[in-house]
Amino acid sequence: MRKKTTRYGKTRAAGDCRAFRELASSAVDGEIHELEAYSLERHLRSCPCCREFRDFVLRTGLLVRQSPPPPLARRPVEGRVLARAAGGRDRSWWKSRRLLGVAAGSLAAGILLGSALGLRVGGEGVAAPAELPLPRVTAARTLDPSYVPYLSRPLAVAWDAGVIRPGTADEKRLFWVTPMSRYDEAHYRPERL
Amino acid sequence: MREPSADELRRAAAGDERMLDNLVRAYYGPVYNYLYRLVGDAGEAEDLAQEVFLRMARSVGGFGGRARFSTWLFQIARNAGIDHLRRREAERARLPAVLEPLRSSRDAVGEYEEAQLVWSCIGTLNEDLRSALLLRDLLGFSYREIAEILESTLATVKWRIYAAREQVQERYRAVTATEPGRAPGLPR
Repeated sequence: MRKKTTRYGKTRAAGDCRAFRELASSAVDGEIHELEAYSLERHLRSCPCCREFRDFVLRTGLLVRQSPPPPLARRPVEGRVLARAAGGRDRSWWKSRRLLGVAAGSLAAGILLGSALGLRVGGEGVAAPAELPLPRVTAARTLDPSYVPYLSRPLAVAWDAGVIRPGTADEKRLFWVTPMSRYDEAHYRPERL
Repeated sequence: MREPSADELRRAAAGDERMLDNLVRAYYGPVYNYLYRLVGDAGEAEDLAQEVFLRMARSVGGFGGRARFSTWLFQIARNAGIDHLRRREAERARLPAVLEPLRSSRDAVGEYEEAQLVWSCIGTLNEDLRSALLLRDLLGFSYREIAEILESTLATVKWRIYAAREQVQERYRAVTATEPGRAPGLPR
């Protein structure tokens, strides 16, 4: 394996392996196209070095997610402080008494005119966007629960909702986030890829 | 992380204390965690987190809603963190707490120590790589969201995350290579 130096430092692998390791890194995050997934799978079966990299990425990703930061020494900034900051941006404008007087006069005139014309002031606020529904998954086959910590966020949501449907993109991604050594070969059907 | 609605953001922009409190409650932890891992010092991370929320309060009125709020907020956090790191660059000879010298492989027993070792390796990455890796692995943003936060392209983000992982593995292996009975870089 050739070593290659970039402006970010030395990357260990070069050539084909480097490309596949980059793919493996994206695959762990569920950010891979189907065609790439197929060639990656073929490569991983024959390359223990890249398989080791993929497993390392899974393991360290889990450790990173599970490490809590040190406890806060102070209380977070309070809303009233932020409210002052939020109001502060226009303070210079409002300091001008003349402008304040003009604004008050305009408001009074507007209210009088509005009531004369029979208009109503106010209304309902903008409705909050509806929550996205959980992905609907149908029961097909079960998965070893010990894989669950390795799943990326969307896959974890799909897992929580039930069982990943076979033949879908989710399942293909799932294959790539599951350590090869622990994957049940019986469930793997290459024609789906 | 739940995204605030347009109405909630409008109220926050108008200076609604309760809404601003809600935003702090929802996002302070992730922002602080990200900044701590980025700058490597809890006290500095707290200062920066406060600064980020003050900046957020001042400019939330101008948030157009083109991106997700969390993406926009982490863009502020990332800029604050990078500015801070640049200011600190002159005195960078000493490594911050999270960048403490890599432990000897003999110390690396148990999951906690292993996590510490991984964090030490992450701490030695440059800011660009570290930031991309933290946004992905620590906060779970998608590549597209990370590209927005880092104001970069999708391909660059993909490459930075890969390069970060490659370098972390390389450093991890270098430290654990001498440990008997454990293959370096392999999950247990």
